[in-house]
Amino acid sequence: MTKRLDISIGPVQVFVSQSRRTRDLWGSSYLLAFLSAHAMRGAKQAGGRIVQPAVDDNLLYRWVDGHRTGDPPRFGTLPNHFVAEVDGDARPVAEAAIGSLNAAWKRVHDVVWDRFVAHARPAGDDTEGIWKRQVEGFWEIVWTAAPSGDRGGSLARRKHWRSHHRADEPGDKCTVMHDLQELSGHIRAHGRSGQDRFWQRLRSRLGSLDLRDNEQLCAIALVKRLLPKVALQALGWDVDASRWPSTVYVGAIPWMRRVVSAVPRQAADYAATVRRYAAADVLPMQRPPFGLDIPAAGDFPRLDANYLHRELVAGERMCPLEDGAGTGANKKLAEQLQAIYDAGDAEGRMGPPPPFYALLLADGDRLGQLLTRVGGATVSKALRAFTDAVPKIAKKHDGVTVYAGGDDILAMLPAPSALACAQALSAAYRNAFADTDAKGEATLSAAAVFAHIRLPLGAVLGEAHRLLDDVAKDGNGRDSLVAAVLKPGGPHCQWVTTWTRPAPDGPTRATDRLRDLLRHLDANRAEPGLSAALVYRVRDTLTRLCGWERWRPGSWGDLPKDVDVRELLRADIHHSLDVRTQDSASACAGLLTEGVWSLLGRARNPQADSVVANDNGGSVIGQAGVDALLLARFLADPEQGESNR
Amino acid sequence: MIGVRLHAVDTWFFRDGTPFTAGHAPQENVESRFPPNPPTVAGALRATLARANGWNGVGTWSQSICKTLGDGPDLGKLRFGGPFLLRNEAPLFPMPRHLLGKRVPGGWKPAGFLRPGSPVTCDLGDAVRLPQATASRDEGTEAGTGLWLTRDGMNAVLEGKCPDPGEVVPSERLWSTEPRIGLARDSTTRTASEGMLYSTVHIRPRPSVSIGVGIAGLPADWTPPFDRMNPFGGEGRLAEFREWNADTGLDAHRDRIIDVRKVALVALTPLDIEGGIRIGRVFDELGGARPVCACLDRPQHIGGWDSHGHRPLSLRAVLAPGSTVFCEIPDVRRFADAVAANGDAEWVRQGGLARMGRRNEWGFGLVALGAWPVPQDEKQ
Repeated sequence: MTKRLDISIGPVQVFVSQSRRTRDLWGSSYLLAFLSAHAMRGAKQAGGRIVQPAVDDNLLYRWVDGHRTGDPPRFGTLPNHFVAEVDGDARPVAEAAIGSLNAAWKRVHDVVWDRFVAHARPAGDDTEGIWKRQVEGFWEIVWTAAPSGDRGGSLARRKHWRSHHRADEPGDKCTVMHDLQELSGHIRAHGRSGQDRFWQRLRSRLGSLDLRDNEQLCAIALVKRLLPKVALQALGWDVDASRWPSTVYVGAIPWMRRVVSAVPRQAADYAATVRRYAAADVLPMQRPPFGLDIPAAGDFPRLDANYLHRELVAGERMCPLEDGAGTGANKKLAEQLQAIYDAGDAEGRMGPPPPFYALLLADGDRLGQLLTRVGGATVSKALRAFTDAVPKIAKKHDGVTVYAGGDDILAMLPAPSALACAQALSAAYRNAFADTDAKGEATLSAAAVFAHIRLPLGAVLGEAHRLLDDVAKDGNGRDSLVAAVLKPGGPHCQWVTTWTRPAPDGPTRATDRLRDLLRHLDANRAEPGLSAALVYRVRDTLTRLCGWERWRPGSWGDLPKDVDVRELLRADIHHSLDVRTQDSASACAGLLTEGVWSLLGRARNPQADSVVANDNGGSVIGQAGVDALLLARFLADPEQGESNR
Repeated sequence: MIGVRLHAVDTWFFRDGTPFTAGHAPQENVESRFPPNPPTVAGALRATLARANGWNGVGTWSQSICKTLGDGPDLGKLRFGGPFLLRNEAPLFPMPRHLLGKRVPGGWKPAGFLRPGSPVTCDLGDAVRLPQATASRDEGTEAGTGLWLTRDGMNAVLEGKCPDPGEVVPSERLWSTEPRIGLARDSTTRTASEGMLYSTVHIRPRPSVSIGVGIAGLPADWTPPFDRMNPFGGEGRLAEFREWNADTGLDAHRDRIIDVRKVALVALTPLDIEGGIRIGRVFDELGGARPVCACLDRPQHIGGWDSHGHRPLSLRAVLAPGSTVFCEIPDVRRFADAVAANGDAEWVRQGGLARMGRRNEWGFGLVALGAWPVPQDEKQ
């Protein structure tokens, strides 16, 4: 009798989001996909047939299975859950899958131990015991076997009973994964020296950027962090971590492109100065990515992007210099960097690089229902086409794919291109199902978080998950985009919308509407536009009209029926233009009012569980919010947007 | 036995296990847990009792105080019950994990239950009765998070009935969060010192919301800790300690449970059960009751600070309040005797409650005894 075997590997969300650096993020996503591939291979070798996802043409699976042709996989492309068909007893197949995963995991953590930890063990207090406890008890692997007609219901039932209990974790905790003990085993409150001695010894075989002075990690976080350094031995191929740019780097890509085009010599000189004063690992990139490879700019596009920010260059923590660099080194670097900021091109003064980047998280809506309706084979084929398209779409928008497996996407992008990328991914997802019975039914929801570079990466990822699950999917009924700006002082705005919005002249794409409004906010435009002051005035006016006690990002309120808010808005805009310009105010006010009005209303999927009534074609607004305006204001000028207003 | 209610004077802050060492750990947006864990509440109450009975707030406790309050991990004669979240002095109960529901405008609507279902071969065993919705229409519903049940709502669940949506209270109606910034100032530059800027997220309970806890084992001649203000939790925050009737008001369903030899145990406080709930386990503290199924979220991890040893306490996995364990009862007399005996505080027996697992004296392991929900087809 044929059985359906579901195997799920975890933890996923916590494991990935407990990341302090981009490298941790990549390491965790890659490691999960790699281990999943080994589990699939183990199941297959024991007689299982992998029916979900489609693995025959999957690059990562092929490399794990020994078919190593072309470039090795650069990011994870396999989900943590897979389905195999088994004839007869499923248990031996499940156990073979788990055995294969455990063997691959052991190979990875043994290499990290042997190369980087074993030599520091004498300085620790039972470091080996801590290591063993953590690596042996970390993964949560569950499986169910059911008749072949089962659509995954047994695994869903199994997940209602979470049974994985880790051992007690004593002592000081890891600075990245807070529920696990750091490896030295010493207690800081009893004296720092033992702990410091252990970590100094461990760091002696690492670069200063691999493990910073204030980082004390557990076994799992150390494996994630050092995966790129041991990839050849641990995985069987090199992953070229230089292709994993930091969040700071990704945020700066458009700015770097301007700099290397406008002032390549200055850029090259600055990079040479950094190399003179800083450690060797200040150039993490082997080759400059994103088309930044301009020989005249020297090593500038390969610099650790922290060195592009003047306020970071002033401190030792983020931009360490060699011991003999001297006190004048920071000043010299800051002066050279300022000269680049002061340079100009056709767009105007270069200014500093933007301090924001975008994290994009997306996944398919109601995939379980889709699987039930059209079958696993159809869905797997469509998802394979989609995941193949993802890296190309991300690259086209200057972004990098961190993970693309099944219906899940995680990518990083420069702020200006993130929403266009999200929109393109949504279209690609629909297209992937266009030739199936799920045409029009298969939709994607996405969360784009515009985060300040100094915010902890794990917190940003956690917020992206919350926005995607609670705000876009549950709150807005799926087929939705949520975009939020996180500043160091807290959330700035949170806008959720369906991908297409109702409008009097027919549905329009939400991101197009926002882009149109952005044009009116551009400070460099010739004709009058919306000032920042006006945007905040609209927010304050609506706060009073909608009766919000205290406005918070993501607030929606009912507009008063006895006030013509649209006319009030038009008058406000007209007045603002009158103040700023003497002519053309009247002509522009109507246009601008329409642009603002089209983004004020709440656009929700009518299928949302919690939708009470639908808004009417965009001409009548039931509920209103100002987050789209604040988002547009931020995107028009992220530098000004850095203030915590 | 006395009941104590802790009322927030301003905000509260109860840290989880996240490292919080200046200069050595991420210091941004460190969030507070709420309600606090049993050891946090027990610690504050012991200190307040000590102050009310002669301790000057500095140095070690006298021998006579230690005799009653214990010392460090030894609780002396004390046994705590709770903590409970209170609204207008009536307890609210953590949403049972086996209750399914859907989001609706302005709230969450209970729609059905999980209960032990048909046997499945899985990593837990060969014929495991994994949780299964009581009716197929329950598909698409999910267990509620960030939700609480009133006394009437919980009594309905313990009877195996769906509570009214009005008995469900979301956390946001009970407390709000407040970000706070702290720093060490460098007087020469008049800026925050490097690595010495931190931000925490405090809890501000609504005025009607407080924390209730029962204390047993206090000598009759001891001054109770009422009408005092003392530190509670982190960041030097305060609580006002008032008297509480310590009545959970939960109905006892013991006769029905004994009739069918099946009990649903719903955790009201965290359950400290070594290794979690597994098939083949026997709960001796419940007269040999045997788990056949459980509805559990991922474990929480509870740690703390050992003020005697000056070191962090071990972070230990516990089952979250609201966890539900379905048990069969092979010997009903033994079960009834064990339930009657295992809570030495009077109110534990009266309220249809029992204790299970480890660290009961600290308040861990308090469970309500209820009936298994009935499958939909059996109802018809």
